[in-house]
Amino acid sequence: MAGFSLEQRDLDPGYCEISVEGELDLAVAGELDEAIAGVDAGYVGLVVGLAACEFIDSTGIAVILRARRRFVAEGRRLVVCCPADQVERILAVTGLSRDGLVYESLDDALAALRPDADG
Amino acid sequence: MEGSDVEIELPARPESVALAREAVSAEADRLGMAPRCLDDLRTVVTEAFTNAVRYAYEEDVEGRVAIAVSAGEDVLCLTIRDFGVGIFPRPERELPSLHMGLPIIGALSEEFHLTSRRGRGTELTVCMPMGEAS
Repeated sequence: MAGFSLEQRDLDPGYCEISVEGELDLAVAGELDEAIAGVDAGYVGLVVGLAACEFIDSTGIAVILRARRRFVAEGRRLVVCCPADQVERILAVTGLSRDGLVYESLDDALAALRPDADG
Repeated sequence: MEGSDVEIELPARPESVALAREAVSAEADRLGMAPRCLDDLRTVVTEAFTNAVRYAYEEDVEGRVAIAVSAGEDVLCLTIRDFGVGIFPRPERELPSLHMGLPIIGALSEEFHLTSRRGRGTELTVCMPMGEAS
């Protein structure tokens, strides 16, 4: 059973990433919710990195979608990058990989967060 | 294929979700389920167990969730059962949710059946393919 951890790091000025490692489900989804809520308002864009996330359920997806709504309401942006295997499949099954939320690479995700990006 | 008739019962707590996921997927792996199907099975178990944890019991009740696994030639069927209040509107208990659990189960399974008995719990039976369609 994989452990679960979160790590926040700066990207370009004004942008940061929270990387999710392990299995994101009901038991730990609140930790991601708190981590995203704790991102300083000075960051205009957040990437939720899922490259090391081995599992996600609807609880984890709900946390990300609610956080994106909050970011949009605040004039900021949130995207997801680099899902693999089960995570990629669930994002596809739920239709989320087609709505501008999910990007295959960190570079693509950062480009989508720029003010001149569509959306 | 070797048969299976496994049953497990766990406390209806968030930390039990991963235990249920691992126990069921280990049994399915032993039975030879394809890797991609195992991923879907892990998702289905998680969504079903999570629904029971979140909605089956009143907050002051220490409930339990039972899972039975039965394998056929080409499918593996799970029955996830709680012994809680059943399904009915409870706006005072409405928790933050996007209500994606059952739709995800429907998308990943071959079929599922949901039975709710007021005051006597909810039972979800889900059948999953053992191998990927050719």
